[in-house]
Amino acid sequence: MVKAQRSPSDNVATFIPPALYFDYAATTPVDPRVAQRMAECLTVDGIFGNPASSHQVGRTAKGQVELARRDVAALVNANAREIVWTSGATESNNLALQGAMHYGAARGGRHIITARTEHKAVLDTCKQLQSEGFDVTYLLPQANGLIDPQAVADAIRDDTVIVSIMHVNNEIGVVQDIEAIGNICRKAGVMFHVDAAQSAGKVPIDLEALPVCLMSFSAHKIYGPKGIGALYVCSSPRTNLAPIIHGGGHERGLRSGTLATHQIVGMGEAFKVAAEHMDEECARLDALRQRLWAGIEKLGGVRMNGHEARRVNGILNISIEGVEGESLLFALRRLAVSSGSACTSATAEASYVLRALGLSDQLAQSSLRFSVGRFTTEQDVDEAIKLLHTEIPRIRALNNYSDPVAR
Amino acid sequence: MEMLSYNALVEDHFRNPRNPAGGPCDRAVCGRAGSVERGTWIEFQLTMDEDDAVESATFRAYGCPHTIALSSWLTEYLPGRKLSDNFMLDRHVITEALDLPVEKLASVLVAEDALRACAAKQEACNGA
Repeated sequence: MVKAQRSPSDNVATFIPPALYFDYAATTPVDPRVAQRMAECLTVDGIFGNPASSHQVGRTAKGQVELARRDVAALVNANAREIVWTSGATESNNLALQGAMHYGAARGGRHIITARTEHKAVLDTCKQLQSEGFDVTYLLPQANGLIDPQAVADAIRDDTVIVSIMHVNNEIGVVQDIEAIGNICRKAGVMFHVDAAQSAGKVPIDLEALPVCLMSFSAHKIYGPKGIGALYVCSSPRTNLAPIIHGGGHERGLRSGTLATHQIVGMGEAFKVAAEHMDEECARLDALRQRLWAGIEKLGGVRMNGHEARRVNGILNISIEGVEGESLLFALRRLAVSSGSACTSATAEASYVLRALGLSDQLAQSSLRFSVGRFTTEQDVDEAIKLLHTEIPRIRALNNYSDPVAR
Repeated sequence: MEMLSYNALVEDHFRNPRNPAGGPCDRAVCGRAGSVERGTWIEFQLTMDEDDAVESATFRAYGCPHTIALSSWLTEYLPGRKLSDNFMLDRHVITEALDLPVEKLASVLVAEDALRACAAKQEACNGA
C-alpha cells in the first residue's frame, strides 16, 4: 500500500503531542517557588556572595545556606548541624560508604553489607571498595523486594563496619523496614546508612527516633534543582567519616568546596515545600497510582512488581506479558516512562533489580516504571491508560499472546 | 534513549503491519522459528500456487519493532518467490530496505529459519 504523500499544508498533522511525563522518580521539574528563590541567589543584586567569606556579602549568603540547612533537617527531624551538603545522592552515598570504610579500616574493619537491589551509586561504590580489598555481602531481597532484617543480622561479622540499605527502592518503590534493620545494626555496634533519595518528602522520616547513622538525600527528586544533595551524619552517637573530597575544609572538613548557594537555597526551599504539602500530596499521588494500576490491570497478563502494601505512593512498576520490551517502548513512546529493558538504559542488562526479584530476563525487559508526581493529573493517568489499552492488545494480536504455541 | 529511532519504513510496518495472521495456522504451509524466551519468535503462514511459488503470506511475530516490521515486510516480498530447501533471504536487500542495524541481523536469520521450516513443510506436503 502506498502512503499518501505529505503536502506542506499538512504540517499540522505532523504535530507530535507532548510527552506524558510519568518519570518523577527519575527527576522532577523544579517547583516555581524553588526556581524563584534560586534566581535570587545569582546576580549582583542578589545573594551571590561566597558563604565562606567573612564580610557582609558572604555572611548574607551563609545565612541563607544555614536557613536551607534547617529546612532540610526539619523535613527529616534531624539537627541542622547533622546535614552536610554534597552534589547529590550519588556523592552522599560515596561519602557515606567510602568515608566509613576508610575511617573504619584503620580500626580493623573491612566488611560492608548491602543489597542486590540498591542503586548503582551504592553498588558501584561497593565494587570500588572491593577493589581496595574490602569485603562486601550483597543480600538478595525476597520476591516482594523487601530485605528480611534477620538476613542483615545473620550477615553481620566482627569486622563489619557498615550496613547500607535504601529506604525506598527507585525501580519498584518498596519501602524497606529501616527501623528494624537499624535496630539490629545499633545492637551490633555497626553503622547504618540509608539512601533516602526516593523517600524524603514522600515517606515520613524521623531521624531523632530512627536508629540511622547516615542518610543520603537528593534535591531533584522532590522538585529541587539537580546537582545538589546532602548527607545526614548522626552526631549522637557520633559517626566518624574520612572525607573523599579535600580542600578548604568546608562542611566541618567532610566536604570541601565552595558552597553553591543557589543550589542549596533551592534544596532548602524544595524540602520546605515538601514538608508543607506532604500529607495531601501523598494522598493525591496514592490515588493517582491506584487509578493507574486499576486501569492497567484490566489489560490482563500484567503484574505489579514489589510488595503491594509497603510501597511509596508515586511509583508503580509493572511487567507486561506478550509484548517484547523494545516494542513496548516504541509503541508507547508518547509516555515518558522508565523501562526494565536493556536497550534504552545505560547499562547493558535487563533491570538487575527485577532480576533479583526472580523475574525472567524476558519479563524484566517488558517492564515499565510509572512514577507520578506533583504535576500529574487524573487526565494524564487516563490518557496513559487509554494508550496502553490501544497499543498492547494491538501488539499482542500480532503474536496471539494467548496462543500457547507462540509462548 | 538513542535506540528509539527507527527508519520510516520500520515505523510504518510496526504501526500498520501488513497481513497479520490473526490466529493459529490454518493454511497448508506454516513454519516458525525462534522463541519468546529469547526475545524473537516468527511464524509465516503461506499459500502456494501451482508452480510452487508463494501465493500469499501472513505472519505472527513476537519481538522488537524491527522483527515485527521485517516479518510484515516479508509478507509483501514473498509472493511470487519460491522456497527451496536451502532457501536464503537476500539479506542485503532486506537490511537496505529496512535500514536494519547490525545488532538486529539476528532477526533476519530467525525469519529465514521460519521460511526454511515452511519449505520443509511444503516438501513434505508435495512428497505425500
